[in-house]
Amino acid sequence: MKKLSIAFFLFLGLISTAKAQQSVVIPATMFSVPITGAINSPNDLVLASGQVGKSIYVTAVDLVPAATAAVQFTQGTGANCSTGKTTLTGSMVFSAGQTYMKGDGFGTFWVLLPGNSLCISIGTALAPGSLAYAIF
Amino acid sequence: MRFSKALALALALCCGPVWAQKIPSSQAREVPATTNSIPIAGTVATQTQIIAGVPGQSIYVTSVDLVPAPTSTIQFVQGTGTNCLTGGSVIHAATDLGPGTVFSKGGGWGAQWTLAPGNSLCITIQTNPAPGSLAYSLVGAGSVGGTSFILSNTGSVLLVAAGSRFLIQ
Repeated sequence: MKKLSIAFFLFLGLISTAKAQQSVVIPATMFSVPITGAINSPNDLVLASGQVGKSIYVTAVDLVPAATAAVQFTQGTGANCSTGKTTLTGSMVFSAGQTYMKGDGFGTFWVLLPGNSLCISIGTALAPGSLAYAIF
Repeated sequence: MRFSKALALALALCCGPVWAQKIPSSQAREVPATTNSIPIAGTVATQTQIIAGVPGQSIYVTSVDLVPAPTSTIQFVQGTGTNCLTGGSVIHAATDLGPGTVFSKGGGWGAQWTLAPGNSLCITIQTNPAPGSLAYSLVGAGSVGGTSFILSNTGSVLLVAAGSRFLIQ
């Protein structure tokens, strides 16, 4: 019985180790925010505030821009993501009939650095929509 | 006897999914999930590397979007060396993106394109800019002594019994 108990707890320990090492986590939407789409360039608008030690995972986004709208998603800290700002997308200039729809709320396509906020830059014309994300 | 029942219950609750579920040999052993994302500036350019390959690991593209100025022509290629010029092969054929077109694929879970191990990912953009972004996972896999393993770019290793799959819950 003693040997069996030792083997059992050793086995449980191995299983626990395996679970602790799992590396792939599928983010699912925890929060969503509206994007009013007002022109804010050159000052980026914070859509989701960063938290120390946590990353933002964007799980879905949609924009229905007016023609000529210039949109870019960025990450960084401080006001308007201006500290350490890096781009998540290129600067996308929309023409008539183009909309921007990505993701279904399960799985992420933009992984932000821990602590960084998510920002959007909208120039020239309106680009309203919404965005969903997880943070952990 | 009481201990045996407890042991059986514990095994059923915590470990059943690990060993009980076999998968067909033709089915992927893991579903790639995004671990990295990059912006695509979208500048008109000849074939240009956007993700560097890593020996022994494959790039799995999990999501991509391009918002081209009309009309833009884009093509994705994999290969090694400078700008994928060595052993290059087409992943997505040259495609004209006309007015009103947005190229958007994938939600970040599951691969849209699977590259050969060690290959880099490159893009060609012609005529007009096509900015956007791309998400991917970089994963290596193999087996040692009949035990399959998955090595992610976070450095973690999952050991899975041969012929079985590891369920993340």
